[in-house]
Amino acid sequence: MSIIITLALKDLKLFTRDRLAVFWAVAFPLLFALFFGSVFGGGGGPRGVMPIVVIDDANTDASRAFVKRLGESDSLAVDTVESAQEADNLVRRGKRVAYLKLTPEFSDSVFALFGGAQQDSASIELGVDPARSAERGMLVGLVTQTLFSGMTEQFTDPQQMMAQVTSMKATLDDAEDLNPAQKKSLDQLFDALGEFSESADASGMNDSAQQPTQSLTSGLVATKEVGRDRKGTPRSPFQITFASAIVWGLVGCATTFAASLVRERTMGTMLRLRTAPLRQWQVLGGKGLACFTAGLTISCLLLTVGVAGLGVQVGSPGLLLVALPCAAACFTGIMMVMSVIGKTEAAVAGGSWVIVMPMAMLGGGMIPLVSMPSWMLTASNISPFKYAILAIEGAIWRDLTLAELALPVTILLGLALGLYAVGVVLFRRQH
Amino acid sequence: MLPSGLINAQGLTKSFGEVAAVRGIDLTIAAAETFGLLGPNGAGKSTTIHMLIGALRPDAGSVVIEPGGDVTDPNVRRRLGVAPQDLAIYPDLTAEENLAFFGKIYGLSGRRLTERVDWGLEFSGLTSRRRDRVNTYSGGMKRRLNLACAAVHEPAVLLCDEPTVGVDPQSRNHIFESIEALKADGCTLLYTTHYMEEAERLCDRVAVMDHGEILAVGTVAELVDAHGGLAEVQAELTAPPDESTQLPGTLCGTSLVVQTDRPFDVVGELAKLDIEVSSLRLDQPNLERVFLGLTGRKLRDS
Repeated sequence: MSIIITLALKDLKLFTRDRLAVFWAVAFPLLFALFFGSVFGGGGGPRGVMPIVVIDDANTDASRAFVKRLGESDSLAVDTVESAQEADNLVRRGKRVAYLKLTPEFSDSVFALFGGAQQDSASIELGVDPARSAERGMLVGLVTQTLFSGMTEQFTDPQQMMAQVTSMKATLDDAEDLNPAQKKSLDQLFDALGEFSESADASGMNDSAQQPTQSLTSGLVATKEVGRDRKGTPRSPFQITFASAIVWGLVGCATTFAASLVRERTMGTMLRLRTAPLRQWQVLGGKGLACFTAGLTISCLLLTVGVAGLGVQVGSPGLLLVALPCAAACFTGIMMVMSVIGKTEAAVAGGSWVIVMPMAMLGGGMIPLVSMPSWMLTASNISPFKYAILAIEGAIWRDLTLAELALPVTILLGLALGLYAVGVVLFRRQH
Repeated sequence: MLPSGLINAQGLTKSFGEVAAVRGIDLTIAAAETFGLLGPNGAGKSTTIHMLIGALRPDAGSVVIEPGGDVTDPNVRRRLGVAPQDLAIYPDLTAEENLAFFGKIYGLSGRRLTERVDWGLEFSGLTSRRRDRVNTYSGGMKRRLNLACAAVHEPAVLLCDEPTVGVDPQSRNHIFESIEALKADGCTLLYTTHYMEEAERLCDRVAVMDHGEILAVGTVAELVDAHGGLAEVQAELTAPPDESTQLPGTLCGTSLVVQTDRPFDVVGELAKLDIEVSSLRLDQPNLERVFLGLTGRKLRDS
């Protein structure tokens, strides 16, 4: 055993000194996890922010307040321009997703929705590329939300409410197209609203430290927090991408050690090893142990980065202790087969990728298993990638039980033993 | 019946497809002997060596290394050292790490390993560069380390396959001195080379090999006597001699060539004649002439 450890330590030392190998086994998987994790929405910076531009032709207190509220939205990046032409150009050139034009008739009055002022209220023009239907829908929603938040403010501020009521009563007095009965009914409504506002003001509602909305709605709406059931679903995209990254790290190790076995042959060091007092199984065992150890170490390293730096949560550390060694063992077996597919380093390196790429494409190395169409998920059964990812994801976020994990883990171990044996037989035949 | 030696090979035969690389050769190498194996490219030297060290299984014949026997036995292999023609060292390890690794796989450990690593560094002249990676070394330094790694475990038999290929004269001389030191310590050496002066300087016995067969075996003197031919005396005269002058050998204009087994007697005879000699050259038969005589002058790699 000490001979195998000696051989493995030599290989690990050589591995750490090979910058290209370290890139493929460590840096590339890490970049993979970070890039795709960010793309799938896990980035730490502002995400999903829609840049829009506003033309405020109304230029009233209400319109300025509306633009201000719009700018406070986390989902929008808002700036203003003077002319509609300029705004139109920005959207056409793709510099902004859309423009919002507030016409001079713009009003966010509480009563704008209730009849009389309907024609004049909320006069907003939205300019958006028809191809951006998703953004258009979201934008309409955000604008509506902002309008309603302005109305809510008016409802919850008794002084603003009183001013609105007074203004509407004056308009009612001047109205000549209403019959006395209608006038009387509306007058009673406005009086009632006025009384409500006065009583709210007297009770100090607007002096409350609480948000106005909360004050107004308290007692009317009972809120209940219902946490989302996250069992068996990833908490963040990084939980998916780091599982794939670990498998890519194992691939990096397998290709590196397969190439190193060929390099031993072409350099002549294999001749020295074969004429030393060693058995062939010890030589191959040393290479296998080095590949397994490197794979396991890199898996732990990647996972540490994920946990410490990106908040990847490991659902079951115990199952991970089972999954990772099995995945590393499987790719050690793959390494052994890769090492005998060619006689030169270049042939083995090229051949290795020919083997790995279809495995990765089918097995979830590129498209996450959770996003695969059903036919692809079925096809992925032939790829060791799938079982490695499934086992690792099972421990990280799929919340598999030990019994559920047994299938992928057994397949991984079976592949490890089978492929290693095939590799050894072919290696012996080559020599 | 062959004489018993440390290495006894009988009837070694190996073919690669249609090509018969080695055709039933017999070799006996005595303990503490330095045995040279000479031959042009493709003669079968490397195949023979690989069979002698157990890296290739012969189609027929056997190799016995005394005491112990079968060369595939790890206990027998422990007493062998191999310095392959290709640099069999790890370029990304230091000289010290290479020596330590090869020492460990031959069972060295602890203080003994440290001593032998230090010896290897001294042997290869790399003590001052012990912690530098091999990929920063010159070709000569790598060759010296390649040899040191083969000898780090103090093998009883050391095989050197063209150990001086592509090195500068200083490194070459260092390798010669290192091999002579091993020889003085009683190590049995099997040495292959293309350089005749190396074989003449280092080898007790030499075998000339071609087309998978051993053409001649013996000491350098024995081979020269048997296959070197006559010495040649070449004299350039200042003027054509009189017709009456009786000259030995063949005269062409003013150039006289005499082939003889007694060259110094010929020089004495010329001195007594009434001729004036502007230059005189004496070519003694040597190993190169033996080699070319046995293997021919035709290019082998064309």
